[in-house]
Amino acid sequence: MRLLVTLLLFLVPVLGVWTFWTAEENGWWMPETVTTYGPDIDYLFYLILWMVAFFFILTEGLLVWFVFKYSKKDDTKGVYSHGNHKLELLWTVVPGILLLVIAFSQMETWADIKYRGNLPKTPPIAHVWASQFDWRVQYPGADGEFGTWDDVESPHLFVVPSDEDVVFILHSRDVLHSFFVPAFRLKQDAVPGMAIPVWFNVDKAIDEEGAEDKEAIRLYDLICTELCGWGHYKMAGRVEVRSREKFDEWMAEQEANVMSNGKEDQS
Amino acid sequence: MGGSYFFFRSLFDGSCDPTDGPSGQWSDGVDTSALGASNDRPNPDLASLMRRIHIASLFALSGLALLSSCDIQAQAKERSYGLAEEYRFDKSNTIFLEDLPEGTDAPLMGALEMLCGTPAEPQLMLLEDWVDEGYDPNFPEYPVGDMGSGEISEDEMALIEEDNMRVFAVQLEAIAEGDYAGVVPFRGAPVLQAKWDDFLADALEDEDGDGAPDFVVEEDDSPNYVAVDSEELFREEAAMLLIGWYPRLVDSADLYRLECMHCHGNEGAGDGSTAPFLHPAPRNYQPGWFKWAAVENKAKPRRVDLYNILSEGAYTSAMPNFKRFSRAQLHGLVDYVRLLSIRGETERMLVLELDGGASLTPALISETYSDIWEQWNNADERVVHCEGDVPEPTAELLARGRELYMDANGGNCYSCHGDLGLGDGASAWEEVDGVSQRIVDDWGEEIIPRNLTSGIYRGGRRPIDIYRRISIGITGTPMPAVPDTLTEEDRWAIVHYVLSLSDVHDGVGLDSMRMRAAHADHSDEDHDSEGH
Amino acid sequence: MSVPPIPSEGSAAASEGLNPRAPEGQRKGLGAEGSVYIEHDHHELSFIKKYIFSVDHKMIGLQFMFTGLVMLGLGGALAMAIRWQLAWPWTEVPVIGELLFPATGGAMSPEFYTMLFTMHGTIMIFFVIIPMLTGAFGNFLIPLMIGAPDMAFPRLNMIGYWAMVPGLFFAIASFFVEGGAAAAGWTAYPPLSTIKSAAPGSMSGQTYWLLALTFSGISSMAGAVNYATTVVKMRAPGMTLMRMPLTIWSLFIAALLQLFALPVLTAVSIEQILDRVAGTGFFTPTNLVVNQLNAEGAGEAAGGQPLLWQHLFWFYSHPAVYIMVVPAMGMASDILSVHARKPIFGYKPMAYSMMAIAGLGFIVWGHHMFASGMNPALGMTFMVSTIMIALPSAIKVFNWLGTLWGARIKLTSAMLNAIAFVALFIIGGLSGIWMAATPVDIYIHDTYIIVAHFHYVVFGGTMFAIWAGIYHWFPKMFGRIMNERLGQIHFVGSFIFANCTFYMMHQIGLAGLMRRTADPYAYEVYAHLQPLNEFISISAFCLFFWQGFFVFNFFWSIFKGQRVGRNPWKATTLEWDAPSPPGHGNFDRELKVYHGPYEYASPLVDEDYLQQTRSVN
Repeated sequence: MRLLVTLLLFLVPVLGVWTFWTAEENGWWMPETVTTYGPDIDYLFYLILWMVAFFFILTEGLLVWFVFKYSKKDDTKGVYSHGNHKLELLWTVVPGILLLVIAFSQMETWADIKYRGNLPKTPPIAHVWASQFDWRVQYPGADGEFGTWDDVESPHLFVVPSDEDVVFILHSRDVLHSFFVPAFRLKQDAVPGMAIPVWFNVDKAIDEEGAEDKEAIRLYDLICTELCGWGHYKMAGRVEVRSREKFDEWMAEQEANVMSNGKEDQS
Repeated sequence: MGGSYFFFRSLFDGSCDPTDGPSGQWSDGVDTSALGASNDRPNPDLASLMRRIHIASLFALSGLALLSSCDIQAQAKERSYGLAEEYRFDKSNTIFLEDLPEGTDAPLMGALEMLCGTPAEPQLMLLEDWVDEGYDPNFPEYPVGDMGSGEISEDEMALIEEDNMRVFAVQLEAIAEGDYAGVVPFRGAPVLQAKWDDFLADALEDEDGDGAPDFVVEEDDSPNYVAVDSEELFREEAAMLLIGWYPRLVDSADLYRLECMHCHGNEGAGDGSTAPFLHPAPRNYQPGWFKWAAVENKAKPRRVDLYNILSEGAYTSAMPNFKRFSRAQLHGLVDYVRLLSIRGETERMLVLELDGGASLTPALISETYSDIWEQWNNADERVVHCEGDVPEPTAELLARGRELYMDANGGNCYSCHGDLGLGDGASAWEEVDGVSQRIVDDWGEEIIPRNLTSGIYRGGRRPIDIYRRISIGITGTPMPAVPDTLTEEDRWAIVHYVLSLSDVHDGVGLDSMRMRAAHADHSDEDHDSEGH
Repeated sequence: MSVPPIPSEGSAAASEGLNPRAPEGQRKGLGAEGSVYIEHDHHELSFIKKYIFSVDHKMIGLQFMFTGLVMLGLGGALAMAIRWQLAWPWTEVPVIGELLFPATGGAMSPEFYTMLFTMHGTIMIFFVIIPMLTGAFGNFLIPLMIGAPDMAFPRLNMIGYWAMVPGLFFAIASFFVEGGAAAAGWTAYPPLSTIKSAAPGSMSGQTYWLLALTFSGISSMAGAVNYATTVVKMRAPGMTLMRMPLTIWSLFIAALLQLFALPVLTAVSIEQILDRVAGTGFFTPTNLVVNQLNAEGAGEAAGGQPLLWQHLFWFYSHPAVYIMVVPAMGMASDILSVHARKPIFGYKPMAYSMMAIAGLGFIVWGHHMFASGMNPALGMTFMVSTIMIALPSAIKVFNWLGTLWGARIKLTSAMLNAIAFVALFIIGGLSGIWMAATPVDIYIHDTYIIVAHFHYVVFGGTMFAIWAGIYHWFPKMFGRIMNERLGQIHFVGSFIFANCTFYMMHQIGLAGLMRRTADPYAYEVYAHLQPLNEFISISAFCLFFWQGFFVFNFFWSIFKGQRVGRNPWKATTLEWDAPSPPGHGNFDRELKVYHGPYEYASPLVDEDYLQQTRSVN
């Protein structure tokens, strides 16, 4: 039993670390980030990952070692110790400092991404409406004003220009939803009754081979991550990133489509 | 077995089996003789019981380990199409299946199966003259004359291929890299899956015995492919299989099962398991009426109408947009929905005949079927559009629109939609047996006139979409078409007036107001921060 | 080692065979509670009084335990159905598929899936973990470990159990009402939960759910009042606060947490009930239209705020997370020390860190809401408090390791499970730091990493501690010991399969897969996760069926297990001074406490343990 338990406990850190080590190859990892603030979040993620990995291996390793070493049949008494003040101090202060370091290192990134005061000073490109089980994006249309008769409405597809700060306003029509684009490292709940400004800036254009192609049209999955009812799983959208030129082209097409008199439908 | 038993046992060495060690003394720290323990002797059967338990747990562990290594192919049970229980034709005429003469169920089911197949193998029956012309709606991507229906134009097919390249990107990459095992299974495409599996299996056969796959596929091995004799050709052909994919009805039936059935039901009667909780209820395809089409009232929709509703959704109803599907899949679903609708309408028409005393003859069946087909195939002729361009909303136009909106002989919109467009007009309710209740539509559902200030339009919010709504009415609902006396300009006036109701500048649109408020907040912040 | 003076008042009442610290009424045989107590001592009770409407803390504890185990089976079965759907979506569900979903060929419906995970969470939290820890172990152990004859309020204790029963009824009955069980997640976020047309489960299932929660809250409240009073007022002579076993500390702290947090949950559930049935609009914004129907009653005048619920709900439910793990920490500490034959390392830091967890636990609720639209500045403060709450947990882990250092470990089933608790709690604790860090949480929030994290804490941590507790205190409960070999087999399988099940969820979550999704493969990007999900599901099925060993062992041992005496583990704490199982009044002799609870390997005596009641002068 002793050997078996030691083996089992030993496998926890070994397989645990191995799984994380090979995860990226297996595709069990975060998608590559494409926004300006994505790398900051990833950096913090890895910072915590390494600290956590150190303590994971340390504590699990000690556990395995102690269980193996001290579970031998032995009729003598164990060490009669009620603790050690210095050790307690050590393992209070060191993790305490590390945790504070972690806490303070997060603040700037968080403030950059979420603080209203730090929003880019550009007018909103669109209003994004979440509803039971549909994403719908409302662009201002030809007159540049929201809420007028020529607004362009795009279901599912949120088309944005690349290399620009994009600000949009997130709404919900019915229940809670959450706007999540894994590749953007962006998540924000949509709350009925609230209009929440959100921003991102897609500055990398990575295609499947990892090469840069600024002219390519890139699609990123937009996922609802807040339970919104029975159809939560099917509430999918996509963010389509285009260069400014192609974005304008697309917008012109949509504006023309709004002005359609239905003739071209007849075929 | 014995060996592994002892190995297994040895793993548990140093344990506290009460049968080990001196009596009453656990070998590992448990002292049963402490403080007044009673001296029950261990059960003599205990040892053999423990042995059995060991072996059982060994079996269990290896069984479970085996389970985790095997590939469970979970499937849904095979379903069959059933008959509806009641057929609602209009307010006064509803036929119940149980009222039909005894013994009509089975022949009716048989006839429908002949016409449309089963959920596992849906297939449209070919009419005699179709065979002569080489027309076959089961293959919309082939031209007429080549046993297809030509409904997917070459341009459309090119778009489908482009989209397939996006959807199958992962699989195509795996094929290009020669990682054939890494080709992720295709969701909702059993025919494609089977084709790929066959093709791969044939190609990977090693007939010359050199230890490497031959990549030789003879044409007669699988008639679906061009013969290949090298890996390069195989990859090309495999890629073409995916890129040129157009779903068969079997594929689409499977996708329908995954994505549509829980609302629209197995037969498309709008009676899926989730349906009772939805307002408005999911569409029942069986009468063949579809609300959001660009064709005349109660005419059969065009392919593109069904395609649009799939890809755009009916906004704020439980019908979401399905733009996440590929073009091919959407077209496939259109094919399948049409099949269900034709099957359902044939069923309804036959039931109506049977109720009228007719008997189920092959002639009646094929006549009904071909009549319905004719309506579907003529849908294109009944599109509503207008000649002039969409006008700008001038003040005069909006005033004219308001006038017509409030005119009982003009638009007469106010009677249901209310003076302010809140959907609360007097005619939104009717008195039945002295009780005021919501008006109902042809499917028997309570219906609420649109709140025009919300800015939400299920059938699309482009001016032309609203134009069509008011010119056609909404199929199957009490929303009528405006009178023919209204000119095109009059109609545009109404359209613009209606759109202005949700306008942030003139109207009282609540959502719009919220939006404007958010805007104001945002721009205030802009000014503030610039000011500092 | 100096022996503290014994309070002199002790011996006066001892001649009556009663504990001198029993409350006034009991000692003199006066008053309702007192008379019941005396009656217990002298008469054979009818079956109903003994086993059903019992006021004996031990029987009530066992009632909680059996109820908890049955509900554990039910909650586990729901989890199996969830796992089936995630591995093989829309295929025939074995056993129940054909029965429940004939129209779809046995494949479950999406709304049923939402009910599954909602009720899995609800049942596991409110009807398994909390009743097992505070209800079963709290009831059984507190009087025994502090040397009291019973709880301070025995009848209230009985009410505590019976208040949970309507809760159980409502939870189970909700599956059979129109629309089915609640389907808004165990967090019941409005407006999904408050508006009847928003989800099938919000028709009447949600009202049942809220009632279930309210009754379970009453039960917990009755328990918490009782535990806190008992610990404060009824300790045996010489049992100072700093001589209490850590289990008692942890249960005391959990009781305080419940006392302060539960009123908020009760209030907020009543608000939600009012929103649903009386047309108030606490959580419904103005003019909300869901599923084409206006929010009933609320309409234009609603003026509510969905985030209000989140704040108030998490103000209870985050402390509840600690209610779910602090007692497990205490029990694991005791079990580690007993079977390691060594004093707990750093007793005071252990007790203080539990207090710190409880204290900080009240100011961290906002970390559930980083993505909710709450003011981001608030998120910053919650982040700091949340990250700092990792510190006491870290101290505890180091102290557990210190306890094992230089020990003489006996690998009994109880010990194995306690070690597993430490090993798995480390994983659950460490992964929590990601979630606390706000920018990282933007990505991680509501993905499967969260699921992995809390299952490591609640299953890997608490569930293993519960098993450890059952193996450890079983002899005291039934006078017989559980079969060790079966216990080890149970442990090995559970440990392997629990890790296989929950560890890989980290990977799925990192790939971005969101929680509560009925069909992950509706997204092309997640298609490649299916093999991993199948692996997890099969591991979960194995884990579920492996519990057969435990169930068999448990019931077999109740009737056929080897009989043991008072102190089979050679432990030091007071419960091992009582007979196994203890009679009414618990102790058959006068107790005086001379030592701390962890005098193992003490140089004062020849044996390797020095019981708290043993005087060495």
